[in-house]
Amino acid sequence: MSGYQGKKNIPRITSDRLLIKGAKIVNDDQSFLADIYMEDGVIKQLGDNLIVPGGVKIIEAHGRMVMPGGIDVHTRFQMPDRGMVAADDFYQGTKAALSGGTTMIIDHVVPEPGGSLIAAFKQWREWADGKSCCDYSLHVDVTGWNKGTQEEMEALVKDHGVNSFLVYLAYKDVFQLSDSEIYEVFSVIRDLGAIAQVHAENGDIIAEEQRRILELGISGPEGHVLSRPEEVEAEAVNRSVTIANQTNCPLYITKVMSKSAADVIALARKRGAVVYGEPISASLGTDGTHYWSKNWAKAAAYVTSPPLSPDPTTPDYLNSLLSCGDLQVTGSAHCTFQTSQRAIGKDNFTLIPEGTNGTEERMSLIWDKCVVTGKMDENQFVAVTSTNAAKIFNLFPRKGRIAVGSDADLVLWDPDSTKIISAKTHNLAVEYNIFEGTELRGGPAVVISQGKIVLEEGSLHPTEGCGRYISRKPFSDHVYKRIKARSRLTELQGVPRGQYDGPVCEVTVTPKVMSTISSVKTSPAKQQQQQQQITQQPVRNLHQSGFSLSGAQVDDNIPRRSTQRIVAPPGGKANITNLG
Amino acid sequence: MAERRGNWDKAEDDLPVYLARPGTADQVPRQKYGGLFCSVEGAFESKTIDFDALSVGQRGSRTPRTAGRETGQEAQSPVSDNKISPEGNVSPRVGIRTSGGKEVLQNLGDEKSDRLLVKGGRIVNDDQSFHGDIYMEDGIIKQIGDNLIVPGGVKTVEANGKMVIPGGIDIHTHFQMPYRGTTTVDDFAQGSKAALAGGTTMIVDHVIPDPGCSLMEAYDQWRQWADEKTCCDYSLHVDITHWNDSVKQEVDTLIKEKGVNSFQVYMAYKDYYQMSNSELYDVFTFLAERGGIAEVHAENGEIIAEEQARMLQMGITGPEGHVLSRPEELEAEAVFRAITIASQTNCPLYVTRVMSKSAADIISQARKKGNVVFGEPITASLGTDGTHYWSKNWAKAASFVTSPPLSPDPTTPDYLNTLLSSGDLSVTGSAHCTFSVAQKAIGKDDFTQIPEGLNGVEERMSLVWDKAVTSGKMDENMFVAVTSTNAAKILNLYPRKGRIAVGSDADLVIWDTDCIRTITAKTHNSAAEYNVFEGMELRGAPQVVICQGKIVLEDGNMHIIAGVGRFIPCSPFPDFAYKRIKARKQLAVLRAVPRGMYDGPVSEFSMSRGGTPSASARTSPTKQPVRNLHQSGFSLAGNPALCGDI
Repeated sequence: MSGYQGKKNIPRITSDRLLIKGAKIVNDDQSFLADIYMEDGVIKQLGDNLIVPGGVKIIEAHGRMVMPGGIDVHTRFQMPDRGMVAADDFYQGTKAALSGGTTMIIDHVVPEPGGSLIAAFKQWREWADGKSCCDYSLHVDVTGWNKGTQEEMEALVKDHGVNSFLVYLAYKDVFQLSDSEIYEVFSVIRDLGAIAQVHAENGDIIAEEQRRILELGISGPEGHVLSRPEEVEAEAVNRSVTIANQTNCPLYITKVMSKSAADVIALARKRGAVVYGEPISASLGTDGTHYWSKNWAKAAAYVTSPPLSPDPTTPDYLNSLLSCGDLQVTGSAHCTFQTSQRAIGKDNFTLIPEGTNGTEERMSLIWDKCVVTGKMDENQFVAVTSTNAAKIFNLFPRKGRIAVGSDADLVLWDPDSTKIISAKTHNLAVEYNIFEGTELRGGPAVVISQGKIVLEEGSLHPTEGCGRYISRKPFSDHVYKRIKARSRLTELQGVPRGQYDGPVCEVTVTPKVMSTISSVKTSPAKQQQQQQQITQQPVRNLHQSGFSLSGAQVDDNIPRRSTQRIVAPPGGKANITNLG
Repeated sequence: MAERRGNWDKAEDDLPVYLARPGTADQVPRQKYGGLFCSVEGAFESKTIDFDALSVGQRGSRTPRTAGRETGQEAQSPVSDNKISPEGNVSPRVGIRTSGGKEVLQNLGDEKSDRLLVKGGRIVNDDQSFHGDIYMEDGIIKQIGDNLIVPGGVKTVEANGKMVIPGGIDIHTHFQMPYRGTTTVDDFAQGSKAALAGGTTMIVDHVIPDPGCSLMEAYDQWRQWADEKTCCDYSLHVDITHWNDSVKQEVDTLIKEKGVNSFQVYMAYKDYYQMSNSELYDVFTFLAERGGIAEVHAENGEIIAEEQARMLQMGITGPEGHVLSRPEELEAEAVFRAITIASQTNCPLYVTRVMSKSAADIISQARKKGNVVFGEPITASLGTDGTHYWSKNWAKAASFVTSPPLSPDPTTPDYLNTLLSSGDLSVTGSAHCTFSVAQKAIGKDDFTQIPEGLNGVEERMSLVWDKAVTSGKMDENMFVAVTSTNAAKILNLYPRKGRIAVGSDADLVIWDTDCIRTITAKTHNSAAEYNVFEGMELRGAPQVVICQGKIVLEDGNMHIIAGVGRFIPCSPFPDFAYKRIKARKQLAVLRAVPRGMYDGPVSEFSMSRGGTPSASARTSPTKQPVRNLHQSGFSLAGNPALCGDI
């Protein structure tokens, strides 16, 4: 398959010049036969009968498919969780990724709630730079919304090459943000030209359900899926789509795990929303029936959020939507824990650390489930495993395409190889593989990352720490062309009217119908404070508005309508009626 | 009443034959048709059940009541109705007469008699239509059928084959609602008068306690207002505007002792009425246990608050800002969320005010998935659209302000009517809540201050008839279902209300399908200066309205008495919603997997998830002065320093 032209003593790993001959190049738009010559990690020439320098390592493809290396848009390597760290660190994780044909990963930075985003980002950079074997980039999770978060986000976009932020609708009291906060985060993201990602589950309902399930005496992993029904996922997807539409912000749903959530996304796309859905290896390859396994350790290995759907038709359905383009990208959400780590939750499913494996199996799995079954062709395969991700996160055409000038991240794909997934043979540090026993057809024969061969004939030669951080620019064309056009269109205008000069009802400043008896029930401080002109009110009565038509009021010095964010000072803004 | 009675007595000699007694008890000569075994003409007469009459639209051959025949025999009885009917047509009209002579003596001349006979009507229920006479006494239907044996001296209404339908139930009104020290212009007297004028004989009003106040006190207050003034029967929904243990207790009492089975929660009105998802979950769980119906005002209040701030910042202060800050997506989102929570808690859900296509779509999808959810479009959403918010006339634009707003999409009313006809939406209300222009003008410089609400109680029945029945979307039975029967079923008042059957309340409407009215604020019975349906021509109107067994509307004349309305208690666990819920409850028992104890190694871990102390203290940078949602809306502790001052 591969040979050398002269200089046979040069270790092949260090050779920066590489020629692939007779390849069927598969991009997301077309396939064609050509040779590829790369140098210094970049594709230099593409075509037939290339003129290349001597001493170049040659790979004979013999007409097999060469496609852009996969991009795993969602990993959580080395993620800290309550003092523990996910079993696969950046070395182990990227090694597994490379062995599966993935040449770039995008990891999630998860700052402590209330902690600094930039500090966390730097921490992750440090971990990844030291260990990662392939190129990587980072999403940053916005786990809290407070003073300075906005500035940090700006700095991340402008100085650190981050163009995607994840917010959580779940994990009540830890990561979860309220609807108003999400609205504000989305507005900021839109202004920065980034992409809003959401972990979509309704955390409030989950918290209630978890309590109920525990009360029922269900403490095993099945409680995890029972307390997080797929409706709750669909609801959160629907809500985030709504908020994104309101703020005209592009939306990206991570971990689409259920049919209903996928349906909501498909529907929203049909209505024209700029929304992307990311099913993960686990949701495409297996289902949630395993939560009922009698083997606790096995059942616990499937715990992830949103959970795998117990409906066994889900993987097939998601594969179909992926094939028809309603879902666009695939990640793995790779976040593995040892059984002993999972066992923290042996008596309480809410404590089980969440995450499943999948970065190694992702490409083969999609090939087997979608291409072999005829749901999609090889070009669409390239699109969903690599190109779309590159486009959305503004890496295209550097990544996700075989073209002159692109990075030399290539996979020589063998559609006929079959492999049985097993924890015995996988490249991970954990005891369980959720795809255990699945036979997958199709796999990488040769993987080239940064112009170097890292996988060849089943042997893996990753170099720890050679992965580069790929910074991403904001305002990705794929996403923002439409957003920009829409923001021009949605200029709102008031109706110019003459001044209304009819009678105006007098409004009492006090809340309506406050009988003396009933006021006992209300907070005593409420009325008192109003009289004493204390700005800090425990209860803000909407009707007790600062608005007044009768001149000076006792509470004139209270900031107007303090429950709503108005930047314009009271009375200081232009009155629309002046226009008329 | 005495005067009226006098008039009838005077006029009774002129009664035309066709108004006489179509279901006559006079001897009909026996006639034999055909062979030996053919049914004998008239053989079934004077029997209680008339199978013939059960077939819709046919009356059998014995006593035809077609106009043609009636006009042919004009000499038999005197005429009572010497008024000219408003539409001035010559089609059979309804006549009301009392018996004279001997019968009067028997009845001791009691003109306040509660006895009433509706003759020759086509009785329309939600399941079928049939011909029959209805005899009612003491406000209750006592007999239905042909040739009823009724006491003498009974006031008789001749329906002449016109439809007799159960009186409408307006399931959503806000009469006499207090608002910042004022009240809505239509109080219970004015409002229920308008209701009766439109053929609605029962209203269900919303009790809105102030956040932090006692539900029970608010309920008593509303009862007092309504008992004094309503002209028709009423019932009450109670809105839950805050949630804690004492409210829970009150809800329990209201269900058990006070006859309330439906409670509304708000997903909008941030920092005022709005509840968090967890609170909604709690409320729904509780209601599901106690057999209540959870109603929601579905709009995402948090996003609205943000959007309102944005609109005002942009300088949009007119009523168009109201609809711009409340796009229909926010309504649909909240409906979706409410359905999810209801389905989690296995609680029947009722979505008040379905105003947009997207919200209606979500409801119909959920019903297809099997959720127990009911949607209530209101008169305004079925009859008009939100383009008026852009009217140059501020007062007119403001009169349309309601929440959720009318959709600016002009195809919305038609779409909602279609879903109502197909059964995806279940009931119609009016959400009647009217303010004078002066009251609306509170928000003349800031649309968020405009009091919300519009009219519709009077127009509801006619509007649904015009938009849905005359257009062929639904039939008369469905019309009865959506205007009356379904509401009665949801409130667990069926079959007392919402059906014409023996034992049901005598709330009836004789419906004139041909009458055409033009809606205008000049002639409507509401006290508001603007009517959102101004200029609309509606076909179909009530000709006679009978409420509590008394005629309250007759040829355009209303005879109402304020304060006669009774409170109708609703009992919990309505079959219509809870049969399914109960079955599901039995199914939905969750079981744990029996496993051996895990005895492998366990990692050390530092803190437990959910215990991050900093999380709850987080605040938003841009919203520093804004109250945190997590900080509960009511505080029993308050500021201890200030407590002493009270």
